[in-house]
Amino acid sequence: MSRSLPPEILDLTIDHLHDEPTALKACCLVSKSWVPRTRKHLFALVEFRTLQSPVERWKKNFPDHSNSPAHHTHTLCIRNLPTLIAADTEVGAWIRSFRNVVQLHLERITWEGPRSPLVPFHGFSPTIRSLSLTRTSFEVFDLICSFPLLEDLTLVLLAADDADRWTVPLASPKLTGSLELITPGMVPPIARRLLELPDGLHFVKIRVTCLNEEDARSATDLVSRCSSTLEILDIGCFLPGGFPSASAIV
Amino acid sequence: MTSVVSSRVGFLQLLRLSDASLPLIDVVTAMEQPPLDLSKATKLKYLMFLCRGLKIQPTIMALRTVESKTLQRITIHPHISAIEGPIEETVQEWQDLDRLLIQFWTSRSVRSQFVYGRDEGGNYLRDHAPSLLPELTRRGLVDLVEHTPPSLRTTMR
Repeated sequence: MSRSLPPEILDLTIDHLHDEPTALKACCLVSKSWVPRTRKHLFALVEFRTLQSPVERWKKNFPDHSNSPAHHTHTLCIRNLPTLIAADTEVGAWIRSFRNVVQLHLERITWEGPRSPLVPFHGFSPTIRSLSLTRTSFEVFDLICSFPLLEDLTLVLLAADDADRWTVPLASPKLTGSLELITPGMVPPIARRLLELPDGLHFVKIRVTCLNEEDARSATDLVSRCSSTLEILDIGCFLPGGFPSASAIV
Repeated sequence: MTSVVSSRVGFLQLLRLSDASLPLIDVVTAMEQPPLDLSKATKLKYLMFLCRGLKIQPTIMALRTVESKTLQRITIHPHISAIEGPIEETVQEWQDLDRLLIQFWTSRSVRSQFVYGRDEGGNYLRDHAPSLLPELTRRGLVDLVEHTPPSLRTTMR
């Protein structure tokens, strides 16, 4: 007669600790049989943000991409991506190991030169439903269109760029969730691209900050395009006159 | 452009002087297409405005375009770090908003919400609601809600 706990009881016990990282780490040391279920919660949210080669450390700890805990991750946050993946030739294989990510947050991702560091991220996780881009280059619309199930989109302080370089893709996500556009003075070029998406906009919620009349008119266009679905509208109405600083709005 | 604006303002002032019963906002709305037109958002349920300070003219203009019959709540959140400048300049605007929100309640049962924070001295701005929205407050048709900043994101290191 086995003295070990039935696996479903063990799973249930560990699931109760899903928001207790310290306890989960202790569970990992109890028994090898406890490790898989514990990893599911420990690696549900992964954030790469330090400048001390966290990607290299990850790859050193988990050299086999196919067997790394990355497949447990449903929320992935990355900051300073060009710095993180500089001189990394295997970034494609590494990022594709995060194949079950549902929420992706990218922050402070700008670059110089023709090749975007975002290219390896295109479609890396087909399950992504929420994408947040903060202080990122304007060239993100190909990335947006590479996630077919994308529902929620957040764009914060995108850097200005040449708006004419984009080739409209043949298909785009349905975008049936929420749109957050916190891009002071930059609403028109972003709205123009969103309005060009071939499969339209179907947002239920829109949050947009308008710093001038052009922003407001573009917001009107977005609202009109989503008129059949839009239920919640959150407007930052900062026109006319002097405007507060962007940081105050965000 | 400046001369056009000046002449328009002069025209409005003339209208106002000649016909005191004519609401100024109606004249502005009739003459200009509001930058933010919400007339096509016919399924709106919740509408929130974060306004710059106490200046709410763009908010009023946008509210006047609302045609949604499913609207349930309008939230006004003045972004105020301190009371800026002479408040008399904005009194007329807030009176217009007060009337407009009452109209929303009486005609469509749309509830109003006033979100308040703290000024630079740490004092709550809740006490300003009765002076900014007097009729709405007197009739108990506005919910006063304290603004709570979004909590810091939980991260795993």
